[in-house]
Amino acid sequence: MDYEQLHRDLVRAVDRVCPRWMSDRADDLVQVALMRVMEIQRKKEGTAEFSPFYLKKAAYSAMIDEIRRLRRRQEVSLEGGSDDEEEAVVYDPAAPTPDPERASAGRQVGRAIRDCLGRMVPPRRHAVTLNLQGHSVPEIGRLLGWTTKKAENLVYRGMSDLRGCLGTKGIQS
Amino acid sequence: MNDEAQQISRWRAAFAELDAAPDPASCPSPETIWSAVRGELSPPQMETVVDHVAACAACAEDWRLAAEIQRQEEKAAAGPGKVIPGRFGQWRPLAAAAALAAGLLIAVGVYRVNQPVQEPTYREVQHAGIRSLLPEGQALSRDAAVLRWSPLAGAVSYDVQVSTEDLRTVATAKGQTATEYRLPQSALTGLPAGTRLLWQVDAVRADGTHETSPTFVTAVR
Repeated sequence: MDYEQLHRDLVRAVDRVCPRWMSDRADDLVQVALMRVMEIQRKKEGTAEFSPFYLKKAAYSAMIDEIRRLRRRQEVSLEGGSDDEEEAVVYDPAAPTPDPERASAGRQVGRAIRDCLGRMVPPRRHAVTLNLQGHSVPEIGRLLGWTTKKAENLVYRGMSDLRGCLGTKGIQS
Repeated sequence: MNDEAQQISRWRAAFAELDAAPDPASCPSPETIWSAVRGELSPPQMETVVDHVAACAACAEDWRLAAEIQRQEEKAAAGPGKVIPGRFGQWRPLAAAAALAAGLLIAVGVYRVNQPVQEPTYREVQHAGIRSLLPEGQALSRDAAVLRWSPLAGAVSYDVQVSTEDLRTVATAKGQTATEYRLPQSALTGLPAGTRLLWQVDAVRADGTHETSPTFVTAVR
């Protein structure tokens, strides 16, 4: 297993996807995840080798566990205080996104989008959700077992629903 | 970028803004999200996960991370400038590798079934590289907690990472030239007696290449 390559891949993914406060800790997050994977491998050594695919999945899982732990801590810190003894070693919660007002407005629109998604019929909701997640129409079709034509149709109609729903909430396109 | 593309881009950015999960206890496991992104779930399972992602910004982020990792894999598999034809062409390298991995797993399974039960062998037997020089089974004293390891030929420095079993980082050190590292007492404050530390050494060679040790386990008194 090329751990250096895996380390680079995971750090790059965190860097590209996660907000700044977390991507600044990408190295630590990934290091922790890889240590867990190495520990799994150490325990298994002498009996079987895991496939690189399995180890990559294990590294991803360990990384997400760590990310979820950090998110919970951030929620606690932002709620104002915690009894968590680990607070001293946590990231700096005073380093939020560069533009808090913009982030706050973004979160508001994000909540409105989620509310609108909740009101859609399931196939359109699934299509739009995956589209908002950055998947192309053929990818959406493949993931949901649809033809590309069907995926395209549902994305188009779902986006139209979303536009209308956001309009009723005063969010203009 | 036209207006519609800009609009979708804005919505994607807003959808990506982190918000509290509706009920974190109901979040799918990372393994489930990983499998969903790779299209390995049944349609009902997939719909359940996508419905959750639609409502939970945190899991939506977890999903995007898995998707990003997959994209990197596909890019690496395709190589620079290579176009793989066919609707499912992009999956061929993965499918081939998965088939190989599945074959190996079956082979390993058959091998294991036919093997007598034996005590596990430890990495010291198998790794010619860095080894722990701490006496086996001996716990570290808090006021003299020194990790020691065997030198690696050609290494010019060592990075050390120490964590607890629940993966909290206890200490890190970079650029050590000695083949030992004294843990600061402050790093051990608050750890109960008997805590097992996981530690690992990354040796750096003059040409910039690395060699990483196994993860060693040592208790603290």
